[in-house]
Amino acid sequence: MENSDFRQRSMFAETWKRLKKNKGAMIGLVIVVILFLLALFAGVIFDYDTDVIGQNYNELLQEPSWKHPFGTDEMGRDLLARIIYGSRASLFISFAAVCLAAVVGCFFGAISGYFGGAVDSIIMRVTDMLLAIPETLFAITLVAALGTSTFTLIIALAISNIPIFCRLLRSSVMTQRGSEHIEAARAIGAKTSTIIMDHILPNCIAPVLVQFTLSIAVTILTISGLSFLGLGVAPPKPEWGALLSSSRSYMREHTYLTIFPGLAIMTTILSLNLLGDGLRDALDPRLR
Amino acid sequence: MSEEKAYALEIENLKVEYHVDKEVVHALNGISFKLAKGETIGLVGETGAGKTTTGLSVLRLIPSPPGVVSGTIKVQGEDIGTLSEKQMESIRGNVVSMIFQDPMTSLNPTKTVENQIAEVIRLHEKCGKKESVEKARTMLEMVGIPGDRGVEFPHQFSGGMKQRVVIAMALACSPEILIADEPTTALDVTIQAQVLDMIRDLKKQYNMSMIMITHDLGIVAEICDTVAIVYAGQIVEYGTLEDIFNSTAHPYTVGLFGSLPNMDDRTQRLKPIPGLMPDPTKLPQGCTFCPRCPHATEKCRTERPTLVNIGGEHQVACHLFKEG
Repeated sequence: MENSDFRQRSMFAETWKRLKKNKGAMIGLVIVVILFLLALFAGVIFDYDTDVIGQNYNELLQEPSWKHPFGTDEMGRDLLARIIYGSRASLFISFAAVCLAAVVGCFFGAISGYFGGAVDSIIMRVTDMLLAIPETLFAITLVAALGTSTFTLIIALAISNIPIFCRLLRSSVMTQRGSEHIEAARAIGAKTSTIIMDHILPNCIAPVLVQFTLSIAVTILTISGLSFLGLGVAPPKPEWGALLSSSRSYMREHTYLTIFPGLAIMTTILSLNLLGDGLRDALDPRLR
Repeated sequence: MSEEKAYALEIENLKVEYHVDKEVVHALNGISFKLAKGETIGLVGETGAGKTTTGLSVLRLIPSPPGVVSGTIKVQGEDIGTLSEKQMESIRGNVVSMIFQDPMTSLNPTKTVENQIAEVIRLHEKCGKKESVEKARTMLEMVGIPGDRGVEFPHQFSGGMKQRVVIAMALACSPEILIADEPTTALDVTIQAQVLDMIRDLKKQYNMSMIMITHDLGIVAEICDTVAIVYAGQIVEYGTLEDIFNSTAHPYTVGLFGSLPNMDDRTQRLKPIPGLMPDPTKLPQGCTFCPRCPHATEKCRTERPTLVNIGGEHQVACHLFKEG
């Protein structure tokens, strides 16, 4: 009996156990956790006023050294400090925007896929409309109309990500809806909400997770683009994309100015992708 | 047998039509039968004859639209056509439950087996999670699966075991009526026998009524009390097991028996029924079987026969037979 109690574990524990076996996913998870901790405790390591935005004309454009591991920029600011503070903006905005998009998109996608008919048509035409507007253009319009702020940015990026999740979930739900185990669930008297939440969504989670990591990556880049246009995070506040774009003019002589922000973006996206793939596999009992 | 027989299920003139792209598919054309408590009726017929549709109608699971259902279905004397969706949910799985044809796909791949069984129990009985899982394990033991395998996922089970799980799920709330939709079609012969034995024992244990949907006359002979032969959405012959097997009347039923290999005379050729079932969008005006019937007359082509009594409970829908 003890044995069987031991085997009776929650879904979370099961997933965790399987995730631990996946080396790539664990590396991704560790990096993501480190990035989040760095962003969270950036204030402990560096002083915002002196290290991040304080200009120091004695140390302009210095190569990486022990004092400035990533070197300094054209204003003499420590690049490491700016990248770590920059992660706050990049990570927070992109995660908030994509989470919001995923929740809203999945909600409408599930409704659309499950009920079909007129509801489906209406939701799909709205997503078509949103899909027709390029993400950056849409964000520019919204930010221009509502003013530059983190909140507007999140909303703008979330709205442009909704249609992808909506379409994705709709198609998964439609294939699931016709399957026999859903009919069986209906035959045992399960309510519609139970059928959607318990029987359909767990079977649709894999593509959503993958899309989630991809969307985060694209969103970080979009924020960068907007910052470059002056619509994202306003200088002197650091942000990865802004760092990257301001380093363009020094790229030939001071390559490290471009390399380090680029590496930061790449590492984040790579580790998120590794974690996303690992989670997808861990959540799917058939791949155990 | 008393005059006042308690019927678990009464189906009266059940018609199901699907309206698709201006065409009307006549899936069921007036099926009527009564199922007494504790008895088993076999619905026999070819693919597409409307057997599964009948089963789904009893659970009111015909997708509508495009499906249009008419006629009355009474479960324990109560007309399910008048019930709300909520009341219907409390009947599904509790009073009437169904074993689906393909155990490979009728289980949710992302939930453990015991949780799936426990779900039915929790839906219909007031009990906590722990209690329902305990009960689910008891159900698993009853269908011959060790209880501690309940934490496994469906893909870790073989086909036969999955079918047992599906049966455990259908029986978890001890339903009054069990609809078994070709429960053994996806299984190999040895497992078929085991599963059939099990269904029969459990049926006796719970005193359930059962609708056995099958195209296998062997299974019918094994467990049914009465038999309804379904052709193109109609019952063409109805009677007790003896009526159907010993005094086969309808040419279609004769054809079905002729399609079985004869073990005593192995040189005898099979006699398949020529042709196919009529297109349910364009049913012939007369008898639906007449294009394939060797005895078809002019009357068969123009007038559709109705069920007539030819002795006892034996009924046939064919112009060749007269009442009495």
